Amino acid sequence: MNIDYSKLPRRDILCIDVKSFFASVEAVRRKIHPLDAYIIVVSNTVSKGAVVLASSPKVKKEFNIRTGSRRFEIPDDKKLMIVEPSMGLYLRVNAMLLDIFRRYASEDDLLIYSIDEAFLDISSVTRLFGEPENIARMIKDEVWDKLKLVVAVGIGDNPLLAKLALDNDAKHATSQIAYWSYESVPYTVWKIKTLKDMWGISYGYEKSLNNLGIRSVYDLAHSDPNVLKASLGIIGLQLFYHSHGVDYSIIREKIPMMRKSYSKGQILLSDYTDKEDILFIIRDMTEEVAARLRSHDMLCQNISLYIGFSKPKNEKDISQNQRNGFNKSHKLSRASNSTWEISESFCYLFLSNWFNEPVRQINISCNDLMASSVLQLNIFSMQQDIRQEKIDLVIDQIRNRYGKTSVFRAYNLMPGSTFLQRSGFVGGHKGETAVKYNQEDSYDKENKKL
Amino acid sequence: MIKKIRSYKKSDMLYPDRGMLKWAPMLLSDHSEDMLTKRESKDKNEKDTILMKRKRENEFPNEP
Repeated sequence: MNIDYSKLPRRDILCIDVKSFFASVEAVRRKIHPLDAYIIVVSNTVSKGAVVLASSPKVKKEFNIRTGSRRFEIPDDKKLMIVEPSMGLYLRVNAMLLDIFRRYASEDDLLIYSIDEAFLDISSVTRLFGEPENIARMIKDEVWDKLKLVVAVGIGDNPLLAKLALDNDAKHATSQIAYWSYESVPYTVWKIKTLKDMWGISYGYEKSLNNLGIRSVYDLAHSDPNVLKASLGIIGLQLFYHSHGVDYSIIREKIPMMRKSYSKGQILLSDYTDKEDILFIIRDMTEEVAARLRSHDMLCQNISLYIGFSKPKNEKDISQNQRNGFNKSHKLSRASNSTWEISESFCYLFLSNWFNEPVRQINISCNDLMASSVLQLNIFSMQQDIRQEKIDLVIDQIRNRYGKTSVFRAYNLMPGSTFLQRSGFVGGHKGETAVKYNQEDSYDKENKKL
Repeated sequence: MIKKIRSYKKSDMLYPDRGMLKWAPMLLSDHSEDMLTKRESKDKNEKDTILMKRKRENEFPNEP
């Protein structure tokens, strides 16, 4: 099929990714060049099953340790520096990075795709700053000058081509910059080695495409779109056109970021079977979410709870009717941001759906938000409501002023509670970790200093 | 030189593309919370500045 590319939107899109972001930030903290470092960021340095969150490019190349590898897979080598994450620092560095990007694209033309990846539509600034390649180089240099981080830039006529250029070309190129256009599709997109390297093709779709006899992006581009549509629906058609480099996305039309819900989730370090222990955790999490609702003057009208069960260690233990977990929601009798009220509803939801299964994951979410300027009073519990509101207010004020652990419930001292342990966590991992400068000299000399 | 067409007509689309819905960001809840809080605070500051300016213009209309 011949595509008439002259009718497609042709914009100047940059897709920018920081090379091994977490590991690079840790390297810069230790005054090591990010590309020379042998740093591995793990969720927990003590637990053998801890997950690798990021590894320096050299670790990936020489030891094949990448994001998602486990702590026990890391070889015992003096070169390797295993560190814990500092998620708070990464968020601050990300904000600095975005400030640099905003010099080249307006807020509307910037899409923050992940903590280390962003799209910039620079179509309207090429007259000011020059050709897209020049702008890519300017951004790259500025990021290096200000943050000492190495970025790779994919340039494309649309977001898809920019992303594919980044993932399949720029990351491996010496200049760390690559441009994929509509005209280059046969030499670039069609040459992508495996289907899973193509953006938008997950493991499930790869299997479905394999069943249709499609094993490469080239095969996909030369398949019958009607067969793909019949088999995979609209997504099949979309994948077909993606393989021709077609994407109608315009960054300016991005879905605005807004608060639809307040949520919190955690994966427990061990199986929880004791009802009281699980309720402690649900109450802790609710307390945090309710405090966030109050700080933004919001009320929630609906709550949802996801409980994930632990997987049996032996295949034999898996019975056919066994549940993996449950996801339930509940409409509150009235909109609320009271810790006690929301917490009781979550506990009710849990107790009415849990049948002594070992729990490993808990996610809570407060949905259907509304401004707290309107409050439905309850004549039967007014006194208690006022009392609870005062307690919440005082706890919020103390915590805002003296820190999260300055005041806590007595049950937080119980062995099952994770409140104190997780109080400094950001994004489910350690928020701040100090660098042991006195250990610097003991690091292998392979970690060249900046 | 290729003429750069910046936009397109929906009726010319080759397939029902989901547009930016495909590019939903993958952010940590703490990250999006952090960004939203910063944006809200920035918006509030801008709003306050405009209100202050209007108030000053109303109260001191002759002031340059």
